[in-house]
Amino acid sequence: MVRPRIRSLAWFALAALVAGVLPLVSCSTYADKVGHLRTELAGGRPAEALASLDKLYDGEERSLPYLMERGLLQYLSGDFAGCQVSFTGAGQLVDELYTRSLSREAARLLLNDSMQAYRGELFEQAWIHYYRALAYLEAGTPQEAAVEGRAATQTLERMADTDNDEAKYRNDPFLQYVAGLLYELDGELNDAWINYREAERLYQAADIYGVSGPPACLLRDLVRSGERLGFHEEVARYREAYPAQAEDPAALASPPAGSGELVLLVETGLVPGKRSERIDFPIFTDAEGEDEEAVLHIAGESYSSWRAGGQNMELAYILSIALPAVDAAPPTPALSWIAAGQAGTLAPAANLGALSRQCLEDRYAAVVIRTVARGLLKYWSTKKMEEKHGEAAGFLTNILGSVTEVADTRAWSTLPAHVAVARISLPAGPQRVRVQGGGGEAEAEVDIARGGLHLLALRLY
Amino acid sequence: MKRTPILLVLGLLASGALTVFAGGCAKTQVTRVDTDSTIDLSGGWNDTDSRMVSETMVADCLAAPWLNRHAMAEGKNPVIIVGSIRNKTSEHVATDIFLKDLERACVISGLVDVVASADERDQVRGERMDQRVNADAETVKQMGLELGADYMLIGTINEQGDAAGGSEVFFFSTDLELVKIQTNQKVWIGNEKIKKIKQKGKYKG
Repeated sequence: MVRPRIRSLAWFALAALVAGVLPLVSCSTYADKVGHLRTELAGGRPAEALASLDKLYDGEERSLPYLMERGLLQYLSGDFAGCQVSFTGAGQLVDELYTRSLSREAARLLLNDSMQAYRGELFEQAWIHYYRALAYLEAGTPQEAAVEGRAATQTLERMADTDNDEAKYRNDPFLQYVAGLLYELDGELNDAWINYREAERLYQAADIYGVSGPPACLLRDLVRSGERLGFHEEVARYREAYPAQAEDPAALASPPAGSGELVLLVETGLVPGKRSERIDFPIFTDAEGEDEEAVLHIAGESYSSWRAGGQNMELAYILSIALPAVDAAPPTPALSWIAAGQAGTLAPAANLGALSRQCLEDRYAAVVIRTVARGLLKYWSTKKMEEKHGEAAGFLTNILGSVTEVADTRAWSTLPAHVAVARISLPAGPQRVRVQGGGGEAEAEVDIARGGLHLLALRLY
Repeated sequence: MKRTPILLVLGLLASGALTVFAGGCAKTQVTRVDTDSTIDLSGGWNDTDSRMVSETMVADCLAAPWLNRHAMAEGKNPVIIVGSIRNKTSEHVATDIFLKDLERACVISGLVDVVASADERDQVRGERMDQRVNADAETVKQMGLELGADYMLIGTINEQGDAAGGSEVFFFSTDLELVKIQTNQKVWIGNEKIKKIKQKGKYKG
């Protein structure tokens, strides 16, 4: 008498879950969601992209992707005060999200990775300071920009303390360089020298940062500031290591009297978005776990076997799983500048596609193991429902499992693909600077102060 | 390990769904508190630090021998101007609030006279200029009678942070110096340190 009642309850619960959970889980990925605003931005319409973003996130404003995208689009639209509000919120959220919600963690293991609030990739967390600094410079408050330089340096120091000891992205040469420039702007040459030195060291790891070496202007900054500070031994070492760049007498000469210096930071393209990639994952055991720990253990073993090529292992079955992936960054465009009758080229300084790929790779094993564990739970549930309650129940469970399985493609998608840099001397007074390359161009006027150092960031569309 | 965790699956699915619903129902609450109460949220420099550091340092400054020496030599209160406080931390410290806290602590002590800062002086001078045109002649304040400061208070706020795992140490060191404007002589140097520790749990419910 009791059994049919339990069975109908199970059916009811399952149907309610299918009906209740499905609307909560969107089949479209984050990349699909922000696709049109990326198109608007790529077309040079940041204000329109901002309006699209606000419409998209109506009612869920306290999410990190929204705040990061919004901050950057506000900055690009010239709303520097609004941009600080968004980025302050983003920074606070990153801090709060260090503490993970256990219930959301459970939902993440059962539904998909997007159930846990997005904490941002490490490079995204650090780059918030870059844009805050640029916005403070645009607003005419270089002291506050220097504060962001210090905050960036501190964030990078803390990254070294990440839980993942094998993570390769734990510092950032470009942000170290920019922090150094901000210190120099603030008159703190000794602090600048420390950051320049760290940037030069980090730029050696081309495989991590996707930039072939330190930009020539960084080497000249190192030599120039080192000589002023009296670090002759270290300067000699840099001269020896980079004879072509560091010995360029024209570059090392002090700016001509009556001139000032301008650092150009030029952004191009859009950072490659994350996409969902379906892969067939081999499971080499037919054992079933009875708790979370056991399931994760089986998933971990399967991952190790998969990495080892699965040789001499007997295949039990194949799981179809969805994993995030980042496309290769587009090639670095050649960029040139023209100002005051002079012309020159910019050197590649940051490759954000490479940073995005590296950050994903650093946590890839954890993502795969969690996804496989989730796939196993869903597979076993389908099998058992089918055995106990018939094919229709198994079918419903399978649908529930399949539609909730979406790779986590959340990212800061409005970042550029590349940043290039140049440091040039220009006569004092208002100067029109034009930058072009990679199919885009931009122009700006800068009032160069005699003996002053200025920083100009441009985005090419 | 043969038992399939169906109940675990269904239970957690339900908890996941509930979590999402519950997240949408969270409400913001605002409560009024005493402005002197100490509230530390992020661990960063805040209003309490500003007030405590300014009160402690001004008390230390006014207890130093320079004040007596000035009184003996001049026979009147010294006149102080609060100059700039350089923020060398990684936080956007509202130095204006700290400057006002310093000025307030000086004025309340009654032992020194405080004159307006450069920006404030421009505003007051503008008012005097305006009075010459618009105010009753008997009430017009004259130009050139400003009180010149004897000393300038300048300083920096520095920070040395450290973090490991979920623990973070905030260490702020404030240095203030009182400089005799006539001679560039530093008549008092003070330092006040604040140390806080913030601990974040890895998980919450």
